[in-house]
Amino acid sequence: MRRSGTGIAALLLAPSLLAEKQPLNATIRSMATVTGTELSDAWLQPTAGLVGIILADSQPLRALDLGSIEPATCFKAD
Amino acid sequence: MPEALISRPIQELAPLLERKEISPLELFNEAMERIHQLQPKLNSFITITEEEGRKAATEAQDEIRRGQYRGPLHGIPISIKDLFATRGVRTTAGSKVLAHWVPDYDATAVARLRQAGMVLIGKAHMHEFAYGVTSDNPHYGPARNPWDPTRVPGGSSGGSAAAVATSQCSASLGTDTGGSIRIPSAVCGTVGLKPTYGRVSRYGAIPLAWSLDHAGPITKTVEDGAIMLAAIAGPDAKDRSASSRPIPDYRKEMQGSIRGLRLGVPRQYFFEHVDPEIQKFVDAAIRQLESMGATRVEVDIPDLENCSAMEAHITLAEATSYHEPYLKKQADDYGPGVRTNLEAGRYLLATDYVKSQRARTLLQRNFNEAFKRADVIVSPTLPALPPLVGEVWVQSEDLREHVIDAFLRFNIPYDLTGFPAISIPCGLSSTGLPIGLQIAGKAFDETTVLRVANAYEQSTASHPIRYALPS
Repeated sequence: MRRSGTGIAALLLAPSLLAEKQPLNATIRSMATVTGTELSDAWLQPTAGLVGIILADSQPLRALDLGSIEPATCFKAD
Repeated sequence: MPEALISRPIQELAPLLERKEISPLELFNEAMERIHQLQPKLNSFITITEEEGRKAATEAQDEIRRGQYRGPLHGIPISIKDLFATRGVRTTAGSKVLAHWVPDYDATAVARLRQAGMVLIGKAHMHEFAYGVTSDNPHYGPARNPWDPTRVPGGSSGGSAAAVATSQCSASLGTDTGGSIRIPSAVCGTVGLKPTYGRVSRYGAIPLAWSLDHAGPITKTVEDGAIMLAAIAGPDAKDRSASSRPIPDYRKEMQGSIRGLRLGVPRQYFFEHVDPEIQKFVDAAIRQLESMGATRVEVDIPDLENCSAMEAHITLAEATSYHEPYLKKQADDYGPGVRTNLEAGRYLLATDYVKSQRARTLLQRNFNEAFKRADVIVSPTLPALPPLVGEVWVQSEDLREHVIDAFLRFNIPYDLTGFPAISIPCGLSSTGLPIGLQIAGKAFDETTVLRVANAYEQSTASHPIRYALPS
């Protein structure tokens, strides 16, 4: 797995995140029509675990006010 | 017993080769002898190109004898991370997916090294698809740290750094998306230079994340890094990210005093949760640079706490996008760690990806503010020593964290900003493991980064942590 350090600790300690664990599995399973891929049971748990950690880590990023800042990488027409 | 030629840096070997006092074949034979001795212990290579290397060394020898000396890499044994396409030589990217791929073309950086006269000695071991920091590879076995083979050599360019540290080659070409040149350099005791994004073409390198991938050298000395960078830098019509900015004479311009240069020390983030022994050596290195006339300035860089999430969104989205065709056909050929990362990349939001790319602009602005007060920024390369092979937890002062979180922490800001950064050895832990000092600079100012690194290296008189082969 990519990372499971502080994220996993947070996952185990935070009741709200624990409560989200099951719905995240179900959400990922239900996205098969969006992704075009049916994730097998063997891969569902680790994938959902990692996605959950990244989402938990992303809350400060989502709260960041970037105003009108544009992405760092840009399309080139030439 | 006299020191082996191959253990000397390129900067010393090149004049001997030019004057025909030594031959490329002598060097090649010494390097190959080490490879045969060490491969069973360290597993630094995925493919050893003995036959091709001998042919290239013979050709280089003939050319030099005829007076057609090409420059400081002519006849030098070099390894290439196994994700760079090499014409006629298997290129696996450390994967089973590409286990039998033999490209019919060279990556641009490889072509430039061939043009400079390198002797390709092998394809270096790496973490599967460069997607990790340990080089513990489920398909080709773990690469191992030469200073303690029970520990990892870092990654993803782990074989490259281990091979250079043990003189199985004189230099290696690596890539760095979240620290993959600097991390193994720090834990193997080599010099790892991640140039500015766009300084070196990535054409022909299997991507991990296009907007974060950098190619650069791993060497024994800073000057060797400058020699390698000069050979591979420059615009490339095949890579639209490759910059056409002029390339300085790094080797010449990096010489000289650092008196008056401002060393930025960011006490927040870059010095938090650091192993006390690492902290001690890095503080000593900063004091050493001050004693040589550099001025220390404290700098604050806001918003660094978002780097981990930004890196995750960008890497997962871009990597999954690249691998999607392979995932459809060969999903079972991926190792479990990389497969999980790639599967997870399907379930993150595009808005988080774009926000991460926007936050990179903010991060660049924050660093540029700091660079108004400092010429370079110094820090530890890593907060913790390398774990045992198979172990994924590391202890850095008061924090026990996953090795990926720990090893990316101080490296990823410079992949996100694209600014140049180097890791150089600054000491050995009490357990005999190398410690890295990171020096970062302004965009396209590799020269100042190299100058500070070279000044530090020179000031340590004899190389502080020269590796001795186990008997």
